[in-house]
Amino acid sequence: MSGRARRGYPVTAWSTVNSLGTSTEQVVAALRAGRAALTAPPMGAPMQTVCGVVDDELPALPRELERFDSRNSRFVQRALAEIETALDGARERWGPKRVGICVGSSTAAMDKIEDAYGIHAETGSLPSGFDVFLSGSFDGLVQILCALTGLKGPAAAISNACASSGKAFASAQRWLDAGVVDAVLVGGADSLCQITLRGFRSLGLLSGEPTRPFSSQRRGINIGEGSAFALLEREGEGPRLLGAGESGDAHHMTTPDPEGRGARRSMEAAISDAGVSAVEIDYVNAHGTGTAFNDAMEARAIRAALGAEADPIVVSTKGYVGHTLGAAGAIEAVFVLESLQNGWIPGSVGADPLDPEIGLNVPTVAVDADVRVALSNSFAFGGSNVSLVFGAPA
Amino acid sequence: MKPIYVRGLGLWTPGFASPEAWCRGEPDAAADAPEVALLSGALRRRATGMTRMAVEVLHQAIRELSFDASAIPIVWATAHGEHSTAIKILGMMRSGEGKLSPTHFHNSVHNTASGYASIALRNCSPSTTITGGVELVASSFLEAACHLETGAEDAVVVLADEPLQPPFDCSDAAAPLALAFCLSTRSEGASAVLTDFRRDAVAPVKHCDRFGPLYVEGGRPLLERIVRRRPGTVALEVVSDRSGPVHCVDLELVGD
Repeated sequence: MSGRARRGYPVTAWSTVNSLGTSTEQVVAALRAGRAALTAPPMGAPMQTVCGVVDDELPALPRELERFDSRNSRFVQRALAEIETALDGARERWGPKRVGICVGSSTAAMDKIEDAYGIHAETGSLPSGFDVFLSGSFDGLVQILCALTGLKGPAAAISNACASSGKAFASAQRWLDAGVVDAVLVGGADSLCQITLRGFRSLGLLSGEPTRPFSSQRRGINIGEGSAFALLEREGEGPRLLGAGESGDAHHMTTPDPEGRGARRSMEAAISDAGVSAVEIDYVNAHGTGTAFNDAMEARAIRAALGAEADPIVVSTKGYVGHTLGAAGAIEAVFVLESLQNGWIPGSVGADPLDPEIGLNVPTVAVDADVRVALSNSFAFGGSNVSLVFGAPA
Repeated sequence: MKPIYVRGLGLWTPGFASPEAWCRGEPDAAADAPEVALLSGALRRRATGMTRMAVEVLHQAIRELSFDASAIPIVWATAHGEHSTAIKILGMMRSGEGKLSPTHFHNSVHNTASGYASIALRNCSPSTTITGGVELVASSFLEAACHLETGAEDAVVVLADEPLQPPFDCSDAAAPLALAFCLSTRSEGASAVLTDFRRDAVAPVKHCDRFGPLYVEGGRPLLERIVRRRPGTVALEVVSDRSGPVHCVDLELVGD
């Protein structure tokens, strides 16, 4: 952790938009109340399923950015609006060239590409004004973030499937450690599209009912959508990013190593990087997708990485919002930041009856807890794993 | 930041199966598919053309080096990822029952090449896929430079993109391109050293006619100048409608 103070980097502001609400306040209230938000997908689905759908109509992008307009970019615009004051402060404090942007997404605005492809198939022409470089690409996502924030530091998008925005935190920390920036706006965004719904169905992983991570009755995942951002600064007040660990399974493109060795390595690397001991971890926000395989593998990996003396509370929040894919790491980081800031942990909704093989402390209702150190996991296709360690405000 | 040594290079585009072949400028009709010796037969059969090309240049950049390839971080950069596979999937969704092939689905993520390479190399190190536009090449070198600045001795940058397919294609007869750079804090066996990544008043990279608008071409002049032994300040971004200073780096030669 060269160049980094042992106390990590403060997260001075954060926000999220997802199926629980279009403001962080709404999202946190639902989470606290144990209220899931999984409903029928608006665009039709290839099978009976539910999704974490952002129901509210969100404002379009301003006229000068309308060529980038998409569901994804509206999520981003909404999430950024909530932390505008903090972004202004960081830009003033560090200078716009010293504040970077690092955003993760698995499919960017793929729904727009699907629509354009369908219109071309029916009419022989792409929709008027459609530009795949702007409307559907990750470059569009980066350009929107630069335009909406006025930040001029390094700006990159990361696309490691479901680990994308978790890895954005790891990269942002690396930029800060290397001294190339003094602050980073880090986050993620993904919107529902047919490819992911049909793709997860083709793998037999999509659940027809609300997902139930860690339950003996779990049947698979639900797909969700949304966005979240956090502002990491070299100095400031707030919960802290203490460390990050990344690993590869080097095992299989879609199936995690059944022994959980890759997941274990990313957790151990994050704990080591954070300079904490495993027994200090109070709370693990698990990847917890609700598939039979992932949850069993992850539970085994958590037990192995943290050891017999650790007894953290382990929760999957995918039962509330579904699996938001490339945005999951950032959305779940925001859930963890709320726990560190306010002293409570959400219940792992749907986990009852708990699978006895899980062997972890999984509460099904919210608990008050003095959370000092928390770990958040994201695992992805290609065996790409990332774990983040956050600490309570100093 | 520390100076960054270049210890290995890779290039593949149809007709040119190495950086040296490209710089000689004489296409070889036999070089119509990457060899991809790194992948086992089973992995090679499942891999997409994009992944084969990306893994091939990774292998070219590291195969002469005596280090543990299972422990190096790899940064992959692509603007459109597995675009051909995504187009195949879009076609499947509109035909028959709209069912997808699970192999096509997992082969459609941007980090597909990373997944195959990690299995082939048994590489469990951090592997990050950067995507974007005009900043793509500079962002991927920044990510690798930060790995080197924070403890890694070596890191590889792999740049790969294929031309857009119908109905999103922008130019006729465009070719795919993959490039790789093995970067290091160590000078042993290095051919060049990179210093002072910055934005400056330099001319951006002009597209070659054969590639169409591929952002990864931003790395082509750097590779060419290392092979042709021409030091100087080198742009890392392609021509765009963006105004202002251009991402660039100073290239010095070593090992001559």
